This record gives sequence, structure tokens and C-alpha cells, in this order.
Amino acid sequence: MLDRILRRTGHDAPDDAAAKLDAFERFLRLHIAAWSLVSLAFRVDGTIETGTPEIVWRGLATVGLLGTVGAPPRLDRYARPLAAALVCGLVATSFPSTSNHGFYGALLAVALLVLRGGPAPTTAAYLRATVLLVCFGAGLQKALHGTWWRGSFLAWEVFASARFETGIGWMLSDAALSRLFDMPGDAVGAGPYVLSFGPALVASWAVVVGEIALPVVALVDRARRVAAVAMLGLVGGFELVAHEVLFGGLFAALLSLFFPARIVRWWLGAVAALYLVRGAIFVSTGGATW
Amino acid sequence: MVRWRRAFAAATLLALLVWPPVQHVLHREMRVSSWKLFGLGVYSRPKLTLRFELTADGTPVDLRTLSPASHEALVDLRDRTRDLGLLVDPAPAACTLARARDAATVTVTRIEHDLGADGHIRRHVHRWTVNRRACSP
Repeated sequence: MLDRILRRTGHDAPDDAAAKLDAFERFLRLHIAAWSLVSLAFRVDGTIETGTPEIVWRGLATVGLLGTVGAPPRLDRYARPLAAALVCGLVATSFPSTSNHGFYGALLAVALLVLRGGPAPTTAAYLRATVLLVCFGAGLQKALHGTWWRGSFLAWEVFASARFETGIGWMLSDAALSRLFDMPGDAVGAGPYVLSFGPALVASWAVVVGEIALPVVALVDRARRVAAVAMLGLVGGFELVAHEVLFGGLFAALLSLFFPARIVRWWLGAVAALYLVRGAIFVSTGGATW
Repeated sequence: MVRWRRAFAAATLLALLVWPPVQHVLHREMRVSSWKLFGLGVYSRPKLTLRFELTADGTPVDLRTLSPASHEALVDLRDRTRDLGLLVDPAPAACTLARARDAATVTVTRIEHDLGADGHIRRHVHRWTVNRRACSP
């Protein structure tokens, strides 16, 4: 049963799957180190003094994770459990405010620790299955909460967030924007924060329907890569509006696994380069943006 | 794949499938944040006002007059209840306040604003009552 489900996410030759996993595992360690570094930077913002146990722990974890990124493959037997242990420690010590991509990174690190001793094609298929379930779960949550069907979530965010105003506001008419900006914030009874029919409402529906439907479409052999590219488009849209660099980066990296190893390598290189660019922006602006 | 690897893979994939709707129920019933706990509900709801109203022995407490210890305890409670909703234990914060005010009973009213699917802002109110006898000395 499990094998049948995993096979629905695609087939790999063993060598190709092993090459993909090598590249992805290296990227995952970089991703986890980046998460650790970013969460460390956000904590050293004047509210927590340097030298506290939390800062020391996060600093050491970041150094350890960066060490696993640079470790040669012959040291993987040590680097793999170290990375898994450190990311699990980071998740535990940041609970309950742990980000979703923090949990996801920990799951993937533990999964690679457990599964890499098995057949590479099965492990690659498992990783693809997780990204399909994560995409589906995100869409299901939006559908269940119901705040995307009438565009309530986007309408509120356009009102409240400069990023959404820039990313979505251009889809709204001047009259619609004026109506939203005349609202009294989150006072009880305020509203309705909704979108009338137009490009922004279509985008709102497209996100929910896309997140639910595309993972299902990806189970069909002929449509799998088209669905993967479409999911990458969804992530790209989120990146442009919400700037969720780490979740978007991890999600995009996992989507690369629907393609051959040679594509995976340059795809992951591109995501890593994006991290470096965003990191440079973060440093150069003194942590104001990234 | 050996059996325990298969068990790990099956269990984690099943959890990824089942957890988001379970977390949705936790959000609806217990005000657990849709943004946290790997429930994948990020961007399902905006983060709106979350505040407390306090009384000590029935007398309203002005939040601006809290002692540093009570203030710190309430900030900690607010941070935890923002993520964990009504699953948190309010006793540490309430007991700190009860000791500072020498009160027998403290009530902490949690008021959270939320965006409904109809686009209107609504309010969820929950009241915790903590008796000082339940506090550790």
C-alpha cells in the first residue's frame, strides 16, 4: 500500500534518486542553518541580551549546522544525526512559537536520517509525498477557515500590511482600496473586509483551489511535472507578496525532486543563491528587511 | 525498506494528512493559533488584537499599575496563549498577580479579535478564574 502511494509521486532510477538526495540533503542542512541563523538574529534585537543561555545555544546550534553543510560526504554518518539532533533541539526550544518550516525541516532531517539507509528511489518518493501533503494541507486549512472564498483574508491584509498592499493592491480599483482604507481596523463589528469580483478575488480562489487540486493532479503521471511547475508558481506568488523566504525556499527545493538530478542540482543552487541574496539584504539593511 | 522504516514513513505521511484538519478543530474549539504547531494554517486568518482584562477579588486591575513580576508573567501568558489558545495554564500569571495584590481570587479575561469568513471582525472572550489556594506557596 505504502509503495503504491509513493509510486504515484513519480519514478526514479536508483542512481538518479541517490544524486537527488545527496543534493537535497546538502541543501536541507543549509536551509536549517539559515533558519537557525535568522531566528538567532531576530532574538539578538535588544530584547534578549547576548550571553543568555538561549542565545548561546542558538549560536552553537548555528555553528554546528553550518559545519554539517560543509562536511565532506565521507562524514555524512556523523553530519546526518548531528543535523537532525540540532534541528530537533531548535524546534523543542522554540516551541510553541516554532515556525511551520522549522517543524518541516526537522521532519525532513529526521526522515533522511531514518530513510537514507533504504532504497534511494523510495526516499525521494517519500520527500515528494510530503510536499504534496503540505501543499494540500495548506489549501485545506484555507478552505476550512473560509476567509479566502470572499477574499476576506486578502482584503484585511491589504488594509493592514504594506507588503500585501504592494503585492495585491494593484489588482483593486481605487474605489475598492478607498473603501478598505476607510475601515476602522479590527474593532469588533468592523467590516466587511471582502473583495468584490475581480482579479484579486480570482487570485484568492486560485490559491485555495490550486493548493488543494495541484497535489492531486501531481499523482497523475502525465500531469505531474506540470503540476509541480504550477505549485512552484504558487510559491513564487507567495514570495512576491508575503516574502516567506524560508518556507518558500524549502517548498521550492522539494518541488525540484519531481525532475531529474541534473535539474535538481541547479534548481537547489538557485534557491541557495536566493538565500544568500536575501541574507545580504538582511545584513546590509541592519535587519530591517530581507 | 525494512519494517521500521516503512512504519516511520507511513506514520509521518498519515500525520501530515490528518493533522491540519485536527488543528483546525483545535483552533475552532480551543483558539489554538492557525499559524503555529505545523498545522499549515499560515495565512488562513490574520493575527488580530489579543488582550487581557484582570480583576483581583472582583476589583478591576489597571494594567498600567502591574508590578514588574506580574507584568512579565502576563506577557509570558499572552505569548503562550497567542499560540496555544486555551490550552495554556493561566495559573502562573494569575498566582503572581494574586500574590502581588494579596487577592484570594484573580480572573483573567482573554479577549481575542478574529476575522470571520463574512469579513466582519468578531470577538472571542474566555474567562479564567484562579483561586489563590490553588497556587503554590
